[in-house]
Formats: sequence, C-alpha cells, structure tokens
Amino acid sequence: MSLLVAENLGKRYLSAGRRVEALCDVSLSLAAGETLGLAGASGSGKSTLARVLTRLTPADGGRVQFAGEDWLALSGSALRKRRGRMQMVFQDIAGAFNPRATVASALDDPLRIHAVVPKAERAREIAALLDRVGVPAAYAGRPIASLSGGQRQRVAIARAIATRPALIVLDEAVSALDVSVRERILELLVALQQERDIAYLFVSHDLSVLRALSHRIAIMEAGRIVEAGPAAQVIADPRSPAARALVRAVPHLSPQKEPIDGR
Amino acid sequence: MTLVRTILGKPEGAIGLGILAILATLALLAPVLFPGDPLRIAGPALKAPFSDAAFPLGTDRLGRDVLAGIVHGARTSLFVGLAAALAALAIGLSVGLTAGFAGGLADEALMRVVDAFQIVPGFLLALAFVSVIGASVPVVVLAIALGAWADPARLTRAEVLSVRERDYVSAARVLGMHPVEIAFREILPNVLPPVLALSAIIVAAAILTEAALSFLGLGDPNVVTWGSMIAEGRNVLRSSPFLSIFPGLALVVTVVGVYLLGEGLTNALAGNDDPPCRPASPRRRRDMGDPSIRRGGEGSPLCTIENFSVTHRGQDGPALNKLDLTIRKGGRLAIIGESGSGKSTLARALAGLLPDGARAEGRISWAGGAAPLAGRDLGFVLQDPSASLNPVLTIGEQVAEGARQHLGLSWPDARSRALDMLVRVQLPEPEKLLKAYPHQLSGGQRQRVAIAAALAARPGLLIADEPTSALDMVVQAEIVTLLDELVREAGMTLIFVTHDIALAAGFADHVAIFREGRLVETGPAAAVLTAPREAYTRMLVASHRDLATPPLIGGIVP
Repeated sequence: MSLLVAENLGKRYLSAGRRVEALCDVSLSLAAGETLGLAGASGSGKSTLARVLTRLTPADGGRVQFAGEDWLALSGSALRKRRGRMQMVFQDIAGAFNPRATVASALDDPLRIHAVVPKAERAREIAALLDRVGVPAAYAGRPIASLSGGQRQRVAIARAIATRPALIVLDEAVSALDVSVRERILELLVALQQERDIAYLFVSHDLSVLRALSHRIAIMEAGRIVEAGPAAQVIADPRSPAARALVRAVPHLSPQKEPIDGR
Repeated sequence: MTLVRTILGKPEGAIGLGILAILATLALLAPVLFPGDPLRIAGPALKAPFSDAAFPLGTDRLGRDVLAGIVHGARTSLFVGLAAALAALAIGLSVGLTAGFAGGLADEALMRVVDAFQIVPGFLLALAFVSVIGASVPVVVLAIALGAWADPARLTRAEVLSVRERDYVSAARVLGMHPVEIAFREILPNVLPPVLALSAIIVAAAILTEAALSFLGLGDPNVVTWGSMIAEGRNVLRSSPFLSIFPGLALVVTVVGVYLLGEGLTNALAGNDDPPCRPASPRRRRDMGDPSIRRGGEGSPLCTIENFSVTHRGQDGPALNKLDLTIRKGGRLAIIGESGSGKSTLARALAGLLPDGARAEGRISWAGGAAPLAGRDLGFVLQDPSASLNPVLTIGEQVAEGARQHLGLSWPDARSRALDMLVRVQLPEPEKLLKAYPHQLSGGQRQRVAIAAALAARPGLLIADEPTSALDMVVQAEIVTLLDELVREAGMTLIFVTHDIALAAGFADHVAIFREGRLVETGPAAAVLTAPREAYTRMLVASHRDLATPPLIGGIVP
C-alpha cells in the first residue's frame, strides 16, 4: 500500500510570453518509510514538483492520493488540518524562518496549530524535539537568526517532525551546509526515518547526497521524469543522458574511490 | 526598548532624536513659558532681537513677541506634521495591505486610484482641498494626508507581495497556519519596517507642506504658525529680516531633525548587513604594468604573503589571522575552507577588493613589485554571475570593456576580441550573444560570460571565488573543465576558492586548507588529500561524499 501516489501531474506557466511546461505527465509513488531521491539540473522541474505535492503551488492537472485521500481536492480547513501529515524542509536556511522567530516560537507553532500535545506540555515537547535533533535545550529562547546554519537546519527538521508527519519533502535541504555539518544532518535524517517510519521525498541536484539515503532515485529533465529505479541501479547504470550527466558531474576525491561502473 | 537603543547608537539617530525631544518639550511647555495668546500685542513694534531681555528675539510689526510665536508655532508644526503623517500612513497601509493580500481585481482597482493620487502633486491637491473647504487645523491635516498616502500605499503593497513569497511564509502554509494568522504574524511585522522608515520622510514633507500652506495664507488664521510668521515678515524683509529668518530657522532645524531620526530609524531597522564591496584602495597604478606576472620561471614565487591579517569592520576577531603563504607562478592553487574560514577574504585581499572598513596588517609582496591591477593583470570571477554582470549593458559591451581599457583596443577591435572570448568559453551563437543582455542567459551561461570578461584583457592571474557554488552539479562540472582548459592554454596562474575538497582535487596542483581564519595545512594536492597531516583535513576528507561512498541506509525498498 503506497503512502503517496501521484499520477499525470502537469504544471504550465508563462515566462516572457512563452509557455513553459514546468511539469509534464509526472507520476510517482512513495511507500511509508521510504526515501525517493529526486535529481535534476536547474529548471528541470524538481522544485515545482515539490511545491505542487506540498500544495504550495496548484497543479494544472493530475491526481495525488496521499494517506488514502484525494490530496489535491482538499481545501480550506480540511487541508490545513491534514497538512501536519506532510511537512517540508527548505533549502534557504536563512529564509525558512520568520526573522522575528525564536527557537521556541518556531517549534510552538506546529504544536499549537495541530494540538499535538496539551498546552501545558508544549514546553516539555519543545525540549524533547530539540534534544532529538541535537540542539541544546538552552537554545529555546534564542532568536533563530543567532544560530549557525547547521543548527538552524536542525530546528527546521524539528519543526517538520513536530506534527508527526508521514512524509517530509526535503528541498535541497543540505545543499547550503558545510560538508562536515551536512554529514551529521544526513545521519540525523536517516535515524529519524528508522525511528518514526517517515517517508522522504529528497530533492537535490547532487547525486552523491541522494545516494546517501535514497532507496529509489528518479531523474527529472524538462518537467518529465526520464528515469527511475533503485538508487544503486540508477547510479551504476544510468540510461538517460540526463542521468549520465548527473553521475559524471559528481567530483571524486581520489582515484581509489572511483570504481563504480565495475560493480 | 532595543530599537530606541539602536537609534541612539548612531550619531544621526541620537542628534535627530535630541532635536525633536527639545522641540517637543518646548511645544508642550509653550502655555507655561509664554502664557497668553501669542497673537496679542505684547510690546513696541519692530524691536530688534537681542536688545531687550523681555523679547529676546524681538517683536514684529504689530509688537508681537517673536520667540513666543516660534515656541507656540512649534505646537502647530509638530502637531499638523505628525497628525497628517499618521493619517497618510493609516490610509496608505490599509490600501496597500488590502491590495497586496486581495490581489486580482481589487488590487488592480486600488492601484489605479494610487496611480491617480501619485500623478497629481500632493501640494496642489492639498492647496485645492483647503481653498474649497476652508482653512482649519483638521482640514489642513486631512488635505496634507490626501496628498501623501499614495507612496506608503505602493510601498506596502510591494512589500506584501515580496514577503508573501518568502520561504518562511511557505513554511507557515505547510504547517497549516490559518491565512489570517499568516497575515498578522508572518507577513505584517516584516512589511512594516521599510514603511516606518518612509514615515520620517512623510512627517518632514507634511511639516513643510503645512508651512507652505500657511505662508500662502491658507492656514488656520486663529493659530500662530511658522509659515504665517515668515509671510508676515516678508513685508519688512529688507529692514527687519530676522522676522522671517527665525521662524525659517526653526523650520529647517525641525525638518533636519526629522530626517536625521528617519536615517537612524532606517539604519536601525536595516540591521548590520555586510558592507558593499568596493576596492579598498583606489590607487591605480596604470603606469606600472606588471609583466612579471606573466613572465619569469614557472614555479617561482608570484606572491608572498607574510604575517597577513584582515579584520572586517564591526567584527571582533580577524577574518584572516597571521597568514603566511606563497603563491607560485603558473600554479593552480585551491583555497579550501568551510564558511567562516577566511577563504573569500584572502581572495579579495589578493585582488585588492577588500570591503570598505576592512583593516589589513602584514605584507603581501608581488614578484613585480607593484600589486596587480584588477581587470588588467588579474581576472576575478565571483560566485554569483548575476550579481557580477551589469544588467543594462549587453554581453558584448561587458566582455569588450576590459580589452578596450587595458589592451588599448579600439571598439571594433575590442568587439572582435569579445567575440573571440565568447567562442573560447564555448557559448552557443556568440555573434547573437554580443547583443544579448544578462537576463536572457541561464546561470551557467552567465558564469561563462563572467569568465570571458575576466579573461578579456589577458591577465596573468585568475582568481575564481566559489565560481560554481550557485550552479547545479552538471553545469559546475562544465565550468570547472572550461576553467582548467583556459588556464592551461594561457599558462595563467589560477587561485580557485572552494568549499568542495573533491572539486579542488580534480584540477589543483596545490591546496591550502583554511579554518576560522587560519591556514591549517598546505602542500601539493595529492599529498595533502591522500595523506593529510592535520586532524581537520582528515575530517574534511572523511566527510566527503561521492558515488562510491557507502550509503547511510541499508537494504532496498522497505
């Protein structure tokens, strides 16, 4: 039983008088607890797909079945109520929080909106969330703006798991981080998935990051999914020109680490 | 309140606030300091200022006390100015917020009304309004507000439209926050600061408009105002200029005070953004071409950096700390570091492009004696190609500019050099591109243009500061290959700044690892990256992830 099934999604918009097919006949499915890596170059439509699935941008056509419901048909308070089941982590670490937010207020929002725990227990829940993502509980009162990039992204992940979602869309969630920090965040995401059975849709232009935690990988080009399959297979034996270009583009540190084709 | 403290922290804010505080105190105490009607005759007519302690600033043609008039006039000026500005802001904010949030037809209709009010000069509108309805303080306030609300309305709408697209608003929507709460908690507080900064200008303009109206005799005749005092003095301007000068001075001081406070408010609300980057030293040593950057033996030192530190303005610790490093001629040096390592500061220091207020200590000595001139002896490629290209100049003009200026070519020759460069950076249809503008190109194409422009004057040294970090991986690989080819072909020295250790390993012959402003380790690329001596370098190598790195998850689909 799939958690999410998207069928024939389409999205067009006008750019400089020309009609651009941002999404064209896109279908995909995601099981509970599974990670689907979505790779593609700039402008391939992967971010548009993320925004359509999270209901930030309306689709022009197609269907999405999510947690047994017609996800695109929901609206108003019915949609808001179910949004807790699908969360998102953004690439722009500085821009993903209200400039006025503190760590505690950012985490209080999801708990309050979805009444995850009784009001009296919210402070304890915030402390538990911070502890889980590895941010000292003493940081609760600090402005988000005073945190480092890695800590902010940890708070963003805490905000995303606060509503106990079944799916988190990660839009280039580690691309802006230093490598040493990035590795710790990836490990955190894997641990959370195993512990809570969360599915991830992980959008990135970097196949090496997707390889770290994707079960399957889909490759997008010009608004279409041109290739999809188990992660190891797509990387070892890319069929489409877009996938081959993405594989070739990953820089390798030393020749000893290179033999991927042979496996 | 922290805002007040921030305003007081800057001299302009403190002076502005001081001036206005004194004026407001005088205005409030006017009935105590100068009891009775300031319009009444108090003594002999046309008494010169500073001649009688009873009338320090003299008296006017009817024998009214000038100082009493000015102090009472401050009440009118400040009250009308503030009230009119508040009314204008209230109307402007309501209209701007409605237009920004409603969108569609309501937005269209409201903005056409705003257009109409912006086309008619505010002063004319106020003038007509007061002439028709008659002069009294409330009418003057309303008249000035009518002429002033359109600017804040337009600004508010633009801010709403921009804040609505921010990721934190998307995040709130994804959380399922109610639209009303999104409007009041996420959008409104972040829309207000620029509108508040504009309000100082509106207050100042309202004070001036009020003075102009009463100067023309369209103010309330029953209250004393600075405008009417100036008008009154005009009749005896030659014999008693002080009658107009003193109220005029009061007006100037008030408006200057408001502007200074507004300036302080703007700075306080803007926060401490990074200072814009401009060349630190405008010294142009045109005469001292530096051929040694190109000539001389391969591997001999091009640049020796000794005990070099840089501290940015407003920062406690140095961005670069006591650096010693030698850059070899013809080499390809990768400067590797994470955020805050000082790698970009070093690149900018080498190019003479440190931001204003940065303090540099120590020595950078160049093989030829003089520092290389940016554009001629060294090319600089930045991370963000859309920021480094001028949006209103054609690609051809921007690439030709360096060649024309530094190689002394005529425009036609520079143009053909530009065409040649566009071919060298492998851009499609270079003839057509010469006439194109940056916005018509993709990010990768723009970066190729930036490289062409940097190399147009055949510099001996190319500094590339994270030139691929804003691009996707596929384009990154193409740009790196291109840079490698161009540098090899021309025998240039390359300094490549990056956070990506593997990208550097691909084509640098030497690497220098930076952390928190200090050089951790340097040496031949192969040696440092395969057998790092320092723990930090080992950690960087261990954190590197490529397609051969084992994944963090086991098994297939759950």
